[in-house]
Amino acid sequence: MLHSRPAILATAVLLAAGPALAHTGGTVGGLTSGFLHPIGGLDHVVAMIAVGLWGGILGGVAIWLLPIVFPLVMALGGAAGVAGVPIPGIEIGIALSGVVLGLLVVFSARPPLWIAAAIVAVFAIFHGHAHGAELPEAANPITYAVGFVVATGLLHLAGIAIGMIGRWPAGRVAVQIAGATIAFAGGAFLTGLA
Amino acid sequence: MTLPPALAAAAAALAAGPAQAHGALPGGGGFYAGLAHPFLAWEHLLLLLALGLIFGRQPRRPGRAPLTGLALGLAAGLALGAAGVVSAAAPLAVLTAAGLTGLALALAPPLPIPALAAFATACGLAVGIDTGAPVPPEAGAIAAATPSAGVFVGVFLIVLNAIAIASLAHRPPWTIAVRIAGSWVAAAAVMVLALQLRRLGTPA
Repeated sequence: MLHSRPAILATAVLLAAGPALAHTGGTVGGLTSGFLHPIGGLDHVVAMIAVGLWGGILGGVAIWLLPIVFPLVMALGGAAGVAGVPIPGIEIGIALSGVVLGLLVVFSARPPLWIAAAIVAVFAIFHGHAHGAELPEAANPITYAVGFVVATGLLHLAGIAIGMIGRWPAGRVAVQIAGATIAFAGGAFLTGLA
Repeated sequence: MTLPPALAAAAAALAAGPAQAHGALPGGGGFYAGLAHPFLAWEHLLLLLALGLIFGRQPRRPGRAPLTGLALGLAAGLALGAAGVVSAAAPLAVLTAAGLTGLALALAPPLPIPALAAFATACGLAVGIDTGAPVPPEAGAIAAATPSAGVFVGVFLIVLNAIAIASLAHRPPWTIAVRIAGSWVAAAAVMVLALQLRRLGTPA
């Protein structure tokens, strides 16, 4: 019985997850609204920055591999969203991405590169699906798509830039605090507190 | 005294006057409309930017073959479009090509020049057909040709500038920036392609 408690707690937390902030519904426009879509939702922002932060911590090839893997796989999730292919737990997956990536930053996790890429790719599907589901509503789909892809990439770059300060001892603590903040924010979205 | 390039570029940018977007040349409207088209049709713009970045990565002399292929394909496509050939597949081909080109930029595999030249020719053909508009029978030869001439100039303005950027990006982080730009192009193109395919499959 004791062993099942974490599972029950996790299930309760998952069920309590509220809708992700960026997804307000309604008609959207072109470049500007596409650009503001990832930035306007804190759940997207923290996860995107975490991808860059983690890439910065992993260093080497990961700095550019993760920000390339993310948009490519996000496009597949986006295509599924556009096509109306249902993927269960999209909002949970987006919130969970903040928790997991934030914790990976806190603990400076250094798995093999392919595992890091796979983790980022899995979460990219959820984020892409959320963006893609709104694409058919866009007045100008191509500019909307360019807007949110560029905004996503710039958030990654911001994360990488923040991750660079982790090369100094004081900066390492700052990066870990940033990771903890991201994990906390993801947890707040997951539990419906935010 | 020689100005550093960055300072010279900044001075030139600050000295720029207001853009003359509105053609002052009577009768030149068709040319300007054609010139603006590849800049305003973002599907085309993405493909052409990505193509230019790919071309700029190739060795200079063999790299001319894809550029020539693009020119020939574009000329053929514009001629077909002007002759009234309309293809519903052209916009999908442009998006597919943009996705593939972006992916090739991001993954940076070695690309055989003949294959790249053939691909560039197909890209030019798709862009030309997707752009070309039938010429009214009463239109004179110059009025019929100026929009296509404008498109041609616009396309090569984009491609040549992208080639210049890519050829300057020799080492990290600029080579990485080019790869990231490729992943962005691929992502945007794939999602819009999915949307177009969905709309094709949805009865009006």
